[in-house]
Amino acid sequence: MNYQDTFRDLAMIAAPSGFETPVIDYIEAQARKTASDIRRDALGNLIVHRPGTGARVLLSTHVDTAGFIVTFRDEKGFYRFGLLGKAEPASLVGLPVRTAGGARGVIGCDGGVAAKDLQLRHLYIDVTSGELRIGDACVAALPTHTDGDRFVSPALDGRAGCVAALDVLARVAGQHPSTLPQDKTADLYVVFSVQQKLGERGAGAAAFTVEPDIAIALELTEAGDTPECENRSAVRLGGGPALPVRVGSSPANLELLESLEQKAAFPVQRTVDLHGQTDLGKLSVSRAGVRACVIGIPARRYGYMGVACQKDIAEAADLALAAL
Amino acid sequence: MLELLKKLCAIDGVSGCEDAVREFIRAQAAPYADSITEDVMGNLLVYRKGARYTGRTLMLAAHMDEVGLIVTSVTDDGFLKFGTSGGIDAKVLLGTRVRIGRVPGVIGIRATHLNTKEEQKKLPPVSAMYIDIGASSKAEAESLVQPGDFAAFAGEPVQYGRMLRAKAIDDRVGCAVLLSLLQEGPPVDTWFAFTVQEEQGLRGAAAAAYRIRPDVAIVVEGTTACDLPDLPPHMQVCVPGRGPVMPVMDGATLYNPALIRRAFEIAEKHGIPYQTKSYIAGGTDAGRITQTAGGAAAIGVAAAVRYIHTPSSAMDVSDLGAMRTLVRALMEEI
Repeated sequence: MNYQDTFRDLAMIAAPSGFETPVIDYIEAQARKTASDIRRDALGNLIVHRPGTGARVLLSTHVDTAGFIVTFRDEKGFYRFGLLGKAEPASLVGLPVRTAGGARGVIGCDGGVAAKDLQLRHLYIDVTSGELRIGDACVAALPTHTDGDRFVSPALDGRAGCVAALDVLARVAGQHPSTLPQDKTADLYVVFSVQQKLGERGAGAAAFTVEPDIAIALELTEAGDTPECENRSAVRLGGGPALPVRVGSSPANLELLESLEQKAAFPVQRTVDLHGQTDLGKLSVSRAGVRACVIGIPARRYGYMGVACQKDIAEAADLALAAL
Repeated sequence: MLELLKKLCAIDGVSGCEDAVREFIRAQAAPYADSITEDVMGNLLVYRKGARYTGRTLMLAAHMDEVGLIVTSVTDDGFLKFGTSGGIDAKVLLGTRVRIGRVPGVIGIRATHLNTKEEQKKLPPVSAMYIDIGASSKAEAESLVQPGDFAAFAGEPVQYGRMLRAKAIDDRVGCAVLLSLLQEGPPVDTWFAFTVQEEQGLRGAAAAAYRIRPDVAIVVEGTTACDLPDLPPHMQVCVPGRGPVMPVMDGATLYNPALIRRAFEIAEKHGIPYQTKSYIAGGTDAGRITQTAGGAAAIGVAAAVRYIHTPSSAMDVSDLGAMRTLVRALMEEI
């Protein structure tokens, strides 16, 4: 699978939390090349099943990016909005935005408000082309690049994991069952989950439906290799997949994590991600509990822009495959 | 339905003790229901078959509980200390009339001329407040109430102009709409879920949705209207009299966009006025229902209620009929 083309295709699709249908459509079309047991649940999660006789493994990655939802139109034609995913209001001024339908605008703020006093209520979207309706959603209209080894995009969080998950699906399909030892064919469910940026709202429902033995979330892990960040984490771009022992307040299953460390054919980065937010929390408490952990793609975040390394994404896919 | 709503508002049912409301609703529902179940949390789950079968499980939800207070201790002088049950702005408590069952009380406030200038500006915390039930001693107070008793806002529903003022419009308005649709006969097979403990974190809805496993849920609520002179239009959230509110998003739920578009079309087709929330605030049982078990899709239909979560919440009575008409149309066509 061509990582650069796939990532760029995915990143172009404007699909923030709650509005994931266009990217789920794309992913489903890709998944249908190698799997036939595919369904969408009531929330829009895509659940792809590659049957096997071994343990039931749920591999999840979220598809939604952060964005904005339009809530009000004033009499001058400026639009007020709510946040899909956390953001600092002051950092939004001047951000160009776009909708799935091709409308474009820029975020402005009420005159006379000092930067330090800025709140969401002071911000609006100035629509520069196309039309906006109340209830429409938009995303940051910043460019995506895949030059050399770096993937740079406002959609890194939400789409890098999808690339790895699609690669896992394609490679698992390429393994002919008869060439594998009997105990190797995991009963695999790949879940492309929704509304992660609103608090992992999709993952819990999917885990309930799948009832896995183990669950692995393919997510971003914040790198600590930028100036003055060394004390936050030792994770660096290019250092291989991160295996966080804890993400936010959710501990990973240590036994599962260590088994992944052992299976890795390349260096991995054991870490703690105190400020992260991933599907891990919801996956691990599903029903009577699930052994779960995260395979993290190291990423540097600058506002909406994320930077990751193709090698790390590919190795994340390799590691997920090794787990099956 | 207005008379039904007034009766519902007059009953006390603070989160955690919804019994009186539940019994009233049960009596109203019983002659029309195909089945009624009270689950362990106290949710009342009513099922009635409709004119046609759709193969889809539809759940309507409204919560029976209201915000109120819970007595935590009796002081040596016979006053009651209390905490809040559900989100209440401490500002609205001072001097407010309450009732603990049949025992009337007032939340004490120091006479204004005894306050220093500094104290005038500060709001005491809830822990410094007390309920006066007119007892002369601790023993007398303890003969009337005990820790764990619930206090509801006191006061009877009143109509003024186009508005109805009452406590607990959130969410007796939802209960009234659900009962009315149940009694009329639903267009399709429907679960009518009267939930508990919504104001304490959407708790009853989890158990209700787990049992019912809806495909689609319509959550009928009261929501906050801030159409006051000092706020710009985009902060007013919604306005009484402009029709039922169908939010695109609130603090707990992002309502399914395809369903919302469809709901707007249905409302427009039937000429039913509607509005959305101009600012994202509040949360409803939909947040819990959409994330229970394997998940569900949901829409919210709410009355715009001024001064919500206070003794004098107020809605425009014209919104009541429009809510029922809209919910019925959605049940049929969504």
